Amino acid sequence: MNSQILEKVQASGVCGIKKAELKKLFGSDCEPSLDKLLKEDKVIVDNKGVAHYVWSKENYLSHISQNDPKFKIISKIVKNLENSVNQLKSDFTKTPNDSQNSDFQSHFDKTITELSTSLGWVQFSTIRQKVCQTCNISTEKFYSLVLPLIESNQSGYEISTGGQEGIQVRGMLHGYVRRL
Amino acid sequence: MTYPYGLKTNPYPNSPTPTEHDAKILGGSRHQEAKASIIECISDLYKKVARRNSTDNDFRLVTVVQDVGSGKTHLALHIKTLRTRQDIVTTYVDLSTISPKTNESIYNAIIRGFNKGLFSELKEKFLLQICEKAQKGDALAKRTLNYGLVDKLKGVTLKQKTEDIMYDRKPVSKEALQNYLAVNFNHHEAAIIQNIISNSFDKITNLDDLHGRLGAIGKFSHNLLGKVILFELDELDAQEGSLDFVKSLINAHIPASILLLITTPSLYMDIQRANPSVFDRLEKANYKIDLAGANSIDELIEIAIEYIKEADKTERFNKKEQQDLAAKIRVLCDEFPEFRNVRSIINILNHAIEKASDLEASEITEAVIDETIRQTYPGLKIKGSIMEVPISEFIKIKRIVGTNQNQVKQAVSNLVNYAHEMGNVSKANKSNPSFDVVYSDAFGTKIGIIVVMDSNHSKNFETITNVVKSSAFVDKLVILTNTTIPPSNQATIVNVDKSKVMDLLYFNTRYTEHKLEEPESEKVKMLAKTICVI
Repeated sequence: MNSQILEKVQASGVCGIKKAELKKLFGSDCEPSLDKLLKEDKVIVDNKGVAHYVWSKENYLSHISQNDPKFKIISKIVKNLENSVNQLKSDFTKTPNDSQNSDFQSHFDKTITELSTSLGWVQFSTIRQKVCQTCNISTEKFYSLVLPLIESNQSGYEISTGGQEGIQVRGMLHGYVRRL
Repeated sequence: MTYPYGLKTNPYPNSPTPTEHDAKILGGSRHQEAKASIIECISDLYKKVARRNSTDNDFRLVTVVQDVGSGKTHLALHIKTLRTRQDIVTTYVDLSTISPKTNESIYNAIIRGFNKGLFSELKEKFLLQICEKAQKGDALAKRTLNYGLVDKLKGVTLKQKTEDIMYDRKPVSKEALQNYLAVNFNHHEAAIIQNIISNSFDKITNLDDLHGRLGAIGKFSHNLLGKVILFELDELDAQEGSLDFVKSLINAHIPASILLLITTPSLYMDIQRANPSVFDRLEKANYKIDLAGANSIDELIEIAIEYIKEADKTERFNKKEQQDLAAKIRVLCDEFPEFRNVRSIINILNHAIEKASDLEASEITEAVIDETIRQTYPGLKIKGSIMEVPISEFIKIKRIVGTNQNQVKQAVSNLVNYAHEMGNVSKANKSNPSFDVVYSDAFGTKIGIIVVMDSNHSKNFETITNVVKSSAFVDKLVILTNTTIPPSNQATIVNVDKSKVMDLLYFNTRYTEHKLEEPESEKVKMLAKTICVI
């Protein structure tokens, strides 16, 4: 009986079905079944005009979104709130944005040019000191920005092993860099 | 045993450092350019000293500075093994094999580094000179050749006596030779000739001996054989012994010779700090070979292909196969920095050729690379992959599709289909043209997904601005994009990076081919969660 009633309610769509009509179809015995569905949150009973109507949960949401101005406003606010939370969540794991990166890159490149020897090689530690001071960033931040910059720009930079600090590639410390 | 591409042997060397035999092949345009520069230096010097005796102005300094494993030693050995040019004689010394580094130990290594042929040729020339003098009646020369009355009576000629010594059938008279040389040559030249004729080099005792003897070798090579000398000193470091030796050699200006110094940027900087005087000399080298981009992917591909081309006698390794192998190497190097170096790529290809032979593969397939990496680099995995994409599949997907927006759209649609089949979501029967896929989650929330993954980021930005207007049609709008955009109140922006794309495309292949197995369902769920599908 429950599933038959639920099927009928779902089939009635956004308009819902009069409670009286359900009684006509399934007899007055359907009252306990309806109560059970109501308790399980599978159906919603509400007034439309003077009559009691029954909706499935999804259809009821659509119904009030269309007909209830108060619900419309609250729904919009909740939706915006949800989007903001999701956005914050994805921002949390996001890498620094493009403008930050390009700013860092320009300082990084400029420092290499300033400090480079005849062959162009410069120690990461010397660049780090200067860039960290200029950009007001920590050593960790410096290397967290350097690694993707070099990785994504393989034809633009060349790195070499040695030195006291730098980036790890192929399990070796690469402490020198130059621009190509 | 058969090897892929119809090869009879494995063309890639298996030693961690090159040998003279391995160095016969030199691929890669950067390495070829470096070789051309060194040859130009040799030719230039050769032209200057041709048809005249060399002076101390005929000295050149060349430096090769590049990272470990970039092919510097290979280049040096290749120059040493060049058979096409007869105008150089090369000695190669690996300074890392010498300890302690003293003038004497490095001098001995230099002498050992010459091809034996040089000294045989010089020995012949010296003895013929002595013979000539003896024929002209020089008594000291005759005594040197042990030529006496008995020989004359027996009818033995001076030429025969000379040949006996030349081919080590009879020894030279040491005392007589010393007397002869003392009259005809200076102290150092005499010592070198004595050493060459007696096939034994004695020790040097001071810096004067070192310069004098190397100078004598340079002079004789040039004046008697018409050759210039190339001293190749590899693994130059900042140790006092090495730098003292190099400085004295540069200052000595060995006639008709080139000093080629090989080091890394790190050691070059160490030299700058340890001995500014030597550093200043190195900075003023006649040729500074840079080998910039020696480890670039294009260079690595050229080098890798050159080995097979050289070994391919049947010319089976055609353009198509070359491009195919190049594409696989490119994907491999792109993803794994571990292989972005000449030594590493040669090593993995050496193993891959052996593996292909074991598997009877006619070429280096994706499966061969996968198997090879699994054995030789067991810890290597695709970075950030939730689906744990196998390397073989990774190479295939990368080569076939690249980053195609439509492929990602199809993958996302199939991911929702899969979630629908698993009962996690309910996919709408009717498609909505405003979205790539529409479905309801477990709570009945209607979700629309749009994939914006064009390579043009400004176009993506514009598309995203337009699609957020469709947000009213669904309860939640999810935009999957490769572009970094500011947060929006109307949509959830999910940044899809390279590894997520790879996971999606791998999932799509497995799903469409009905190959998804139970253990993978958890990984698929995780993937769906990371891109906000469930």
